[in-house]
Amino acid sequence: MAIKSYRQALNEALRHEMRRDPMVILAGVDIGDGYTSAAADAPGDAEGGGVLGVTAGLIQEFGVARVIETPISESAMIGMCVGAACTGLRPVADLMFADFLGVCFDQIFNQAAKLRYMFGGKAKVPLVIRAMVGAGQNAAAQHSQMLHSLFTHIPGLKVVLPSSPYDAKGLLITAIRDDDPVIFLEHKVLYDVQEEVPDESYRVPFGEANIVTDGDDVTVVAFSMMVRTALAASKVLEKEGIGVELIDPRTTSPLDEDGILESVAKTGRVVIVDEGNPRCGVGADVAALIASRAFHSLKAPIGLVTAPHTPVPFSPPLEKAYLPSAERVADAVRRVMSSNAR
Amino acid sequence: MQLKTEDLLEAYRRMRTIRVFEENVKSEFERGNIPGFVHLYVGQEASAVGVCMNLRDSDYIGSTHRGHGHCIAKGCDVKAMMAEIYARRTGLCGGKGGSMHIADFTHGMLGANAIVGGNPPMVIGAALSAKTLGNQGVGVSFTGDGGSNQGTTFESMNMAVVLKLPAVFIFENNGFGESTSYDYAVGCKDVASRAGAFGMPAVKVDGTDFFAVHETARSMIERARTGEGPSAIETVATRWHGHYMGDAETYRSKEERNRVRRSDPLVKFQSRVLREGWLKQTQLDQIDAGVEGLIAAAIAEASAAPFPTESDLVTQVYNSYP
Amino acid sequence: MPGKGNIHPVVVPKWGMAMERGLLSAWHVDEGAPLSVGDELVDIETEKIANSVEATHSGILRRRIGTVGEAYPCGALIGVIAEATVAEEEITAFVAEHAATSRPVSVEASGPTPQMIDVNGHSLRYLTQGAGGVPVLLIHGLAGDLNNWLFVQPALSGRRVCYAVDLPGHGGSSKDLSGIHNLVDVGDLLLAFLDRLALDRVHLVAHSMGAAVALDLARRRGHRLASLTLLSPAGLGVSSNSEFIAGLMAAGNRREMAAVLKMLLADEVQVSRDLVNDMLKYKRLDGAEAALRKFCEFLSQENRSTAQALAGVATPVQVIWGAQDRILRPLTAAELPSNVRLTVLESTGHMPHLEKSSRVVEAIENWGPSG
Repeated sequence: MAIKSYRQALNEALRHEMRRDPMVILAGVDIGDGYTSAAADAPGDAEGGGVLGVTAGLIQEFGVARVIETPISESAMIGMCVGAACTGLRPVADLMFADFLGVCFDQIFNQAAKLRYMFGGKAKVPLVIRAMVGAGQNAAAQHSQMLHSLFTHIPGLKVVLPSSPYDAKGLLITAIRDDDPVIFLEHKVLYDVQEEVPDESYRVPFGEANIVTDGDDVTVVAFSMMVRTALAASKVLEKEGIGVELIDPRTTSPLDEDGILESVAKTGRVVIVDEGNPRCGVGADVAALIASRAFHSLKAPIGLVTAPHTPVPFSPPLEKAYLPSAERVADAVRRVMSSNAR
Repeated sequence: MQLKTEDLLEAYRRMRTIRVFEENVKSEFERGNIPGFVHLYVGQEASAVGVCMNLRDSDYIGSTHRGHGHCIAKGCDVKAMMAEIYARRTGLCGGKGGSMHIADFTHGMLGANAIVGGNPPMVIGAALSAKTLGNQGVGVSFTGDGGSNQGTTFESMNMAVVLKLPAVFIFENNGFGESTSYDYAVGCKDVASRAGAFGMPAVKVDGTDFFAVHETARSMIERARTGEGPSAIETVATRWHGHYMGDAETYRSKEERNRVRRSDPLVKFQSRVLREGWLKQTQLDQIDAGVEGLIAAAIAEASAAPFPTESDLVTQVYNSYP
Repeated sequence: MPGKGNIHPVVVPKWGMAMERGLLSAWHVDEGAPLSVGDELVDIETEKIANSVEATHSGILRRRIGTVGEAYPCGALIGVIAEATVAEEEITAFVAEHAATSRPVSVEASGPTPQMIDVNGHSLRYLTQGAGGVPVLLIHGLAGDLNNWLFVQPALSGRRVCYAVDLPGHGGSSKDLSGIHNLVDVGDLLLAFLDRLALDRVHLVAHSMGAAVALDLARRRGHRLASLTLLSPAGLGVSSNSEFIAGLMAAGNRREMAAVLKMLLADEVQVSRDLVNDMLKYKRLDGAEAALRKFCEFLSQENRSTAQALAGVATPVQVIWGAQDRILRPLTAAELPSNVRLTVLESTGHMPHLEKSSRVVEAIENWGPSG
């Protein structure tokens, strides 16, 4: 066991699985830092590996037949991985930015998600699509979205949002071993977060929330980077005597509904924190779940903290205002604590 | 290359099966016995069968919304296909896919695809699998003239060339992308020359001539198998019926529709094999009778088969959940 | 932190590598109360478990500093013991000095971290604390790991070197059990481990299934053991609670695991979220479940009677058992030979080294290392 970053944890997951199963292949743009097409006299980059380094060293270890660098052609690349997945391989496609889902969404939501069902259970699509999500690096509107809500909405897809290095490695291993199409969303701001991560391979199951902190006063449900934001808020709130039970669902599809409802039954108050846009989002989805199945436990209206209904702005002070902050989360908690529905 | 007798018989049997299947689906649809949409392949039989006679069960094909012909040509079970079109539980997809999503992975049929341009990326994926697994398999994509304009098709051709995949792109030019004539929608001279510009060999053949299609496909598929990379074949065969059952076809004249029927792939095949003395009329008649019987039985069985139950609604979305 | 001759600090201890702070949950004595060595002073809770801090000296509790419900970093001063004769000003000065100079013990500044060693093709994780003397070797039980000794190892390592090892298939040791077909093979691997570390003779302390391994070593290689302390032992003629073992194997989520782990402790409330999570995380390591299954098989093959288990054992043996152990029924003194010392701890379940760690340390100190 050693301290590793989120990025290293993901790299380990890919490496272990590629060693364990020869059917696992990677595909995407730049995943070998241009190794495949580099000129003979180019220096190369043994340290590199994709835009944010997750695939470092893999093309060197596994070769160009298993780490396939493609032209910038997301439809063909993702569709190719769908076809390869249903004919014997286990591809891990790198979409790079989730914002690029627009140019290949048909392959994801009409093909990958539906083949098993439309073909009466006779096809399986053991495909993982990895992509970066989230704001906080001034990457502006078309490189900063979450979009997990769009994927979660589609039956047939599984959607994963790891918030920590330990979870990232275990969830990616589970994703690669899963026989269904998995959308694996890595928050770009989390890549350098560090924590103890076992050297061995291990699974983190889907549909099981992580209870980050125990608390009796209020349930906070948070996703991806918002888990850390909510954790910071909970430390402030602890000093004010408010005990936060922080829940990280880790996967939005499947969603640990029982885990969330159990916590709300205990505390009676809940704030949901989601970096996505508010309309038709996962935050609203969880709020509806709680309102319909835990109504009688509630002592206060459900709190919902999200980004505004805008694209992600470029300018740093605007992006800062866009992202839910620890203060906003703490304020939302104080509001539900002081509110009494009855 | 001269085909063996048994292959000639098989080719005729498949083409006749497609013709009778489709004409019966048409009439059953007109009687109101089939739900949803159907898109008929009549007049294009030689294209599917000419190509698929060169394929093994383990090779993969991808098709379009107009997929019955490819399915039959690839060897899928006709009765199960009919049951699927009739939306029954005994259908190839349990009644959950229908005409536009007929698939059978045991025969390498990756499915009809209701999204125009939907199958080429998947087919190059099957080609990638074959290359990675080293089994000399190929992936063959059937796309229409309409689908040839889709970005996914262009991307797949480029990807196949760049990664040198064992893929063959068959562009079935049946004259129309829905109601739009191909010569309006395809900006350049023809589809084959456009495919050629992507860096692969591309030829154009008469899609109503089984032997021309078969021979051209044979060499292109062989090319792919031996690792020389992808290629494209444009087969020209105008479809007889409308884009879909119920299409009023106001985009072409009655004279035009009649003219098209004079170029019947089955009639051409029969004339050739009889003239060359490769087959006898009695053999062809025997096949005709057998096919009629098979399709009649398929319809009877499909009509009597049970529909899926309500519990089938929520199954097979995932392998496991969570 | 050091005392000052006749002034002795009560501090928040560091139990285990990951512990950064403890919650002070209850005081057992008031300021001014007379104390004897070993009196329970205060309960400290961590994320894993709760335990109490005992008086290390006799005297008076001159200051009670820590507040119930507050969390303090490891090493923080929460009380002061001194005789009545020590002047108030000295106590006050001592407290002030401590506030000015003490630092909480951080994770980075913590002492030893576990190491890995290759033994006969297996990678074993172990933790070394202390130095000198005749070494103590601590062996955990089924599904456990070296962290089970987090209260005991620091205490014992005050006076000699103390090793805690992860058995193969457990903790951070490799999960591939190739070449290991029974508990005898496990024992042989541990002997090889001792050989690699050049440890001729050790005081062996073993828990539950680890005790079955230890007994096998005592029978076959008794000359390598200076003494044997068995905690809640398997292998002494008592069969394990099969419901527990089945439950442990089957538990796949928090709810199921919490229900199973509750059987381990006398006070069920002590089964914390972290305890449950740690066990789930272990089971989810590649190969862990398969290894556990094999160990369950090994254990089921062990059916010697008490007399057979101890036949020919020359090493001095003591047994410590929790009166409320629901996994392995405690033997009575009548069921054990007279030369085997038996200590039965009240209000204790299957994990005396977690539930009553200071009593366990005491029993080990006055049996093995001094004898």
